This record gives sequence, C-alpha cells and structure tokens, in this order.
Amino acid sequence: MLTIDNLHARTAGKDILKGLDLKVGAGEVHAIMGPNGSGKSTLASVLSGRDGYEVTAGSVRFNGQDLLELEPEERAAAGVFLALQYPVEIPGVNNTYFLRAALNAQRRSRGEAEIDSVEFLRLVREKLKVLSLPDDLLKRGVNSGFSGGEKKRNEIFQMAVLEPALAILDETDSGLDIDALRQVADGVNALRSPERGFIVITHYQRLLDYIQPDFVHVLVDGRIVESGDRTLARELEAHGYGWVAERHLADAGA
Amino acid sequence: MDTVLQQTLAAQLPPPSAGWPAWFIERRQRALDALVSARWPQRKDEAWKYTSLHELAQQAPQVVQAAVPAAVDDAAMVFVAGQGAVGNAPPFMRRLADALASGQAGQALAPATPAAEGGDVFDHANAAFASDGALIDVPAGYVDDDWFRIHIRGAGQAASTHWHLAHRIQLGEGANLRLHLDQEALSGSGLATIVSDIRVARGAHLELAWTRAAGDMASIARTRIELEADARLTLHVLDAGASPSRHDLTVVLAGENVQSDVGGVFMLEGRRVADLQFDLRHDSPNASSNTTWRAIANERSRAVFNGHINVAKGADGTDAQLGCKSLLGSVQAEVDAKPVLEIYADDVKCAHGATVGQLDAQALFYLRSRGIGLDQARSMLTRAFAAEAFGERQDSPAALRLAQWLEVA
Ligand SMILES: Nc1ncnc2c1ncn2[C@@H]1O[C@H](COP(=O)(O)OP(=O)(O)OP(=O)(O)O)[C@@H](O)[C@H]1O
Ligand SMILES: [Mg+2]
Repeated sequence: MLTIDNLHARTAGKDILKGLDLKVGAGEVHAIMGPNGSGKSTLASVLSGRDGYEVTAGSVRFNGQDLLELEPEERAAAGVFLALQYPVEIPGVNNTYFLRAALNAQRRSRGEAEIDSVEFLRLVREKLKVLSLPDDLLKRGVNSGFSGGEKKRNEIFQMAVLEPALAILDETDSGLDIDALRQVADGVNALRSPERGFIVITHYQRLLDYIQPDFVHVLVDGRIVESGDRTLARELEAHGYGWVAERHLADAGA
Repeated sequence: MDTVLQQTLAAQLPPPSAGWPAWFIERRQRALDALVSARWPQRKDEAWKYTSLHELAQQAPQVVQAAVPAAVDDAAMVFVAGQGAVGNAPPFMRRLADALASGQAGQALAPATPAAEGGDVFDHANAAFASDGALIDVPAGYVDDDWFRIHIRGAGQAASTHWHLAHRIQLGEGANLRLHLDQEALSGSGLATIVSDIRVARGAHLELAWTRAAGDMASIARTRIELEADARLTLHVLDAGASPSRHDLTVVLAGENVQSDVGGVFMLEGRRVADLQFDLRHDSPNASSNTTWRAIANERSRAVFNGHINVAKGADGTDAQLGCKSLLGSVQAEVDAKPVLEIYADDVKCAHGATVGQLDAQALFYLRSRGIGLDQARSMLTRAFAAEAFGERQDSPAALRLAQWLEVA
C-alpha cells in the first residue's frame, strides 16, 4: 500500500530524513520508535504534505500513486490520515461542522454522494461509543480550549469518522491518562482491517501492549536502522536507544 | 466649486414637491449653496488621509428619475435610488417623503447634520437632495422580537447616478427594536449618501444590523446614534466596500449606565475601499462599550479603521474596549487601523488594540489534511475570524449574511 524508498527531506535548511525506507502493506500495523529529534514527525509531515518540507531525493508511492505529487487534501481523499503530535486549535470553526465538511469534501473528490446531517449524526453517535468525547467538545471550536488529552482523543475520533486507508499516529499516546490510552487503542483496534494500514509513532511500550504491531522500526538520525517484530519494542524499553546505536557501530566496524 | 461633481449637482436640484413645508424648501436651498462653495476633501485632510475622492470629483452623476419601487417583498420598507415605498411595516414606520407631502412635517423631522453647521460637501449634498428616508418613531414600551428589514437599492444601471437618503429613527422609553438596513450592491458609478439620525431613549434597546454589499459607487454614510440613560445599543455592520464605502459613525453615550456593543466586518475584494471613522463618546458615568472590528482585505482592496473613543470629564466608571484585527489576503491589499483613546475621567477601564495578520498556516494545513480543499479551508477560517465581531450573536442578520457570503460550494 505504502512504499517509501530512499526518502531524503530537509526543513529550514537542515537535512532531517537521510535515506528512509519503509513498506507498509494493507492490514499491517507498523510502530516507529526513535529518539527525540530523529525525524519521526518530519516523516509524518512529509507524508501528509505539510508546507515547509523539501524532499531532496527518494519517492513515496501510495496505492500506485506518487503521493508526493498530491496536495494535502488530495492525500486525505486518497485515504491518508495523520493524527498530529500537536493538534491545532481553530477557535470559531465548530468541531462537528468541520468534521462533516471534511468527510463530505473527501466524498466529493472520490465522486461519492455527500452525507446528510441526519446520517452524519448517526455516524458520529456510533463512533462515540468506542471513543467517548463529552458532548460539549463536539460543539466547541476545533480543539479550542481542549486539554492535551482531549485533543489527542479528538484526533482519533476524526480518524474513526473518516475511516482512512492509512492512518499515521504521531505520539497520540503522549499525555494520555490510562483510560484515554485504552480508548485510543480501542479506537485503533476497531478500525483494524485487512484493507487498512497503520503507522504508529510512539516512545512507549504501553500503547503497543494494546495495539499489537506487526512490525517495529527504530528511526535514528533520519534512517530506519533496525526493524523487527514487537519483541523489538521490549528490547528497546529494556536497553534504550544507545543499545541500537552501539549495535550499529559494531555492525559498521565489522 | 472646484470639482465637476459639485458643478454637476449644483445644476440639478429638482423643484420642490407639493405640500413641502417652507422650512424644508429653504433648508435644501441653503444646503445647495453650501454644497457649491464647499471645499472638496483632500488626502491631506486628516479624515481623508487614506481614502481618495479623486475619481469621484471628476464624475458627473445624474439625478435618477423617481421610479417608485413596486416590489417590496418581505421588507418593511424599500428604497430604490433614494425613493421609497412602505411594505409590511407597523404604523410607526413611515417615509420622510410622505411626512413632507402631508404638510405636517415639523422641523424636528429634519435629520441632524444640517448643512449650516459646518458639514462637508457630502452633508450638504444630502441635505439638499434627500427628500426620502425611513422615519421611525417607536412608541415607549414597544417590544417585538422580529427583525424589520429596510431594503436599500441603487438605480441598478451602469450609468453614473446620485441619490440620497435621510433616516430618522427614535426609540421611546423602554422600547425594543430590531432593524436591518439591507443595502444591496450599488452598481454603476456616482454618489450615494445616507444620513441617519438615531436616538434611543431611556431604557430602550436598539439592535441595528447594517449590511452593505459590494458596490462601485461612492457610498457615503453618516450615522449618529445617541443613547439616553440605561439604553442599549447592539450595532452590527457588514461592509463589502465600494469606491469608496465611507462611514462616519458617531455613538454618543449621553446617559448613565448605557451599554454599547458594536461589531463590524469589512470583507473586501478587488479595488474596493471601506473606510470607517468611528467616534464613540462616553459622556456619562458607568457606561460600558465594546467595539470589535474585523477587516479582511483581499486583492488590491483597502480597509481603513479610525476608531476614536473619548471619555469625557465626569464619565467615571467607564469601561471601554476597542479592538480591530485585520487579515491581509494579498500583498497588494492594505489596512490602516488606528484606535485612539482620550480619557478625561477617573476610575476608567479602557483597552484598545489593532493587529494585522494572515490566515494561520497551521490551521490551514490542519483543515486540508482532513480533506478540505484550499478555498473552503480559507473561507472557513475567514468566517471564524470575521464572526468574532458578532460575538455570541451569530443569529443576527449581519452574521447570517456573512455566513452566506462565505459559503463555499
Ligand atoms: N520547522 C523546523 N525548523 C527547524 N528545525 C526543524 C523544523 N522542523 C523540524 N526540525 C528539526 O528536525 C529534527 C527532527 O524533528 P522531528 O520533529 O521530526 O523529530 P521527532 O523524531 O518527531 O522528535 P520527537 O520525538 O521529539 O517528537 C529536529 O532536530 C527538529 O529540531
Ligand atoms: Mg515528533
């Protein structure tokens, strides 16, 4: 579904991604771990088409399309969703209105019929069963005055409603209390299916206990330096990133 | 008489209509004389620093032959190029023209800013030519939740025309009135002036929404609102600009405990100009005022916000807030915002500020990352920005019209 090949990207005059390779197949959950500043959010930004990132080499293909050629909204319509590490507050744009506008914009660009408000409300109710969000949050401005955890839950709620083909979660677990973490994981698991892929960026093993990944990758200095199954996450938790770096120095020396 | 426009107008004063009282005929003749000798405003005048009248000065607009409007739709009144018709209106809403024709019109009906009192060329033009407008005298204690709409249109032709309206609106003690001045696009070139004299008696509440669609005429409005003790004003203005759209708005908080909430939005495209000269006078103690303006200037348009608050000696306990935020949609657009406070009283709480910025790139990306196209994302953010001017009152005609304008297919 997603093939990232030798991706190099820079921002603010600084090379961040330095030859990143990653393949995500339909139905797979990939976890990406790595030290602060290694380029995880940069990867997420490049995949979702945020301004200010220049791809200097490499390619990204998504379901047969050149993903990097598409505008952010086209990527969304093609099925890419990014749960941001720092969701943006947009006061004055009603949360529910926004979400319906997003869903309908995606539907229009896929040539599907728009969803009417009754149907939409039904959909929202159904999704809220897994992921409880207080009613007043739905009526407020997008993320406006939300707590950190509420913002993260709102991201997953949006994901649940938009039902993307590929969801990228950038540290959605950071700052969540134990119950919210559970809900977020439930939200992801409810969406897991043979057609859908996930990239879960996290620093913590705990989320991966709930969302069991098929693959775990370690991103260091703009490259994936180590990949494995979910036992890799445990090893990282036990030994830290220094352990990976040392192994690579050893590899390089060998 | 230094401009083509003044010369043209001077030669055009229509003869008096039947029934007009002598004082009115005299007044318009005096105004015409004043119009002829008035100095044409220049960019070097402080009040016209940012708005050029150069093009208007060269125009030779014609008086529109009175075609009394037939269709009134759901409006209480309709005015087409300065001539009105009464529609579905309560008895206290009349036309100035009818009052004048009845022969019973006393001097008190004459709107303020008479030509004699040192007005400028537009005041004189209005006093000379305006013979119609809304004459509203709301009885004390009147309450109605419905909005009355006054529909204002131009001649609807590409030609160069001029027309003038004079409104006089009074609310009796404790009365409530919701009034929507709904001004359509003024096409063609030329000059439209609208002078409004509004008085709100003790304990009364006026909610006034004034929507002005984008126009190509010079649209000059002069509005004076005076509030007695315990009165309330909720004023919403939505202006898409003209060539130029100029509004000199004076709000006088004459009595104690007055509350004034003024919210306004400029939504400008093309080369249109909207210029507000706002003058708020806190003349009595314990009044509070909140003025929130939002200017959106796209393409080569220009927004001018000159907000002046004066807190007079003795107006202790005043609470005055004044803010103007602007969004520049292009490098060729321009915003000139200048809030000024002058305080001569004690125990006063005042705040004022002006900012100019652009749409938030993070917010734009966020919306787009969810599938919303660039244009729609922009208009959603623009609407959110502008709607702040109307605060909690998102159901007012100005807020609803704004939403309509920004609706993206
Ligand atoms: N706009 C920017 N301007 C300057 N430097 C930037 C910018 N965006 C990212 N960087 C730098 O790029 C590097 C990678 O940042 P990125 O956010 O991708 O890291 P990360 O792996 O997500 O880290 P974390 O675990 O802390 O979230 C960092 O050194 C960061 O400072
Ligand atoms: Mg990050």
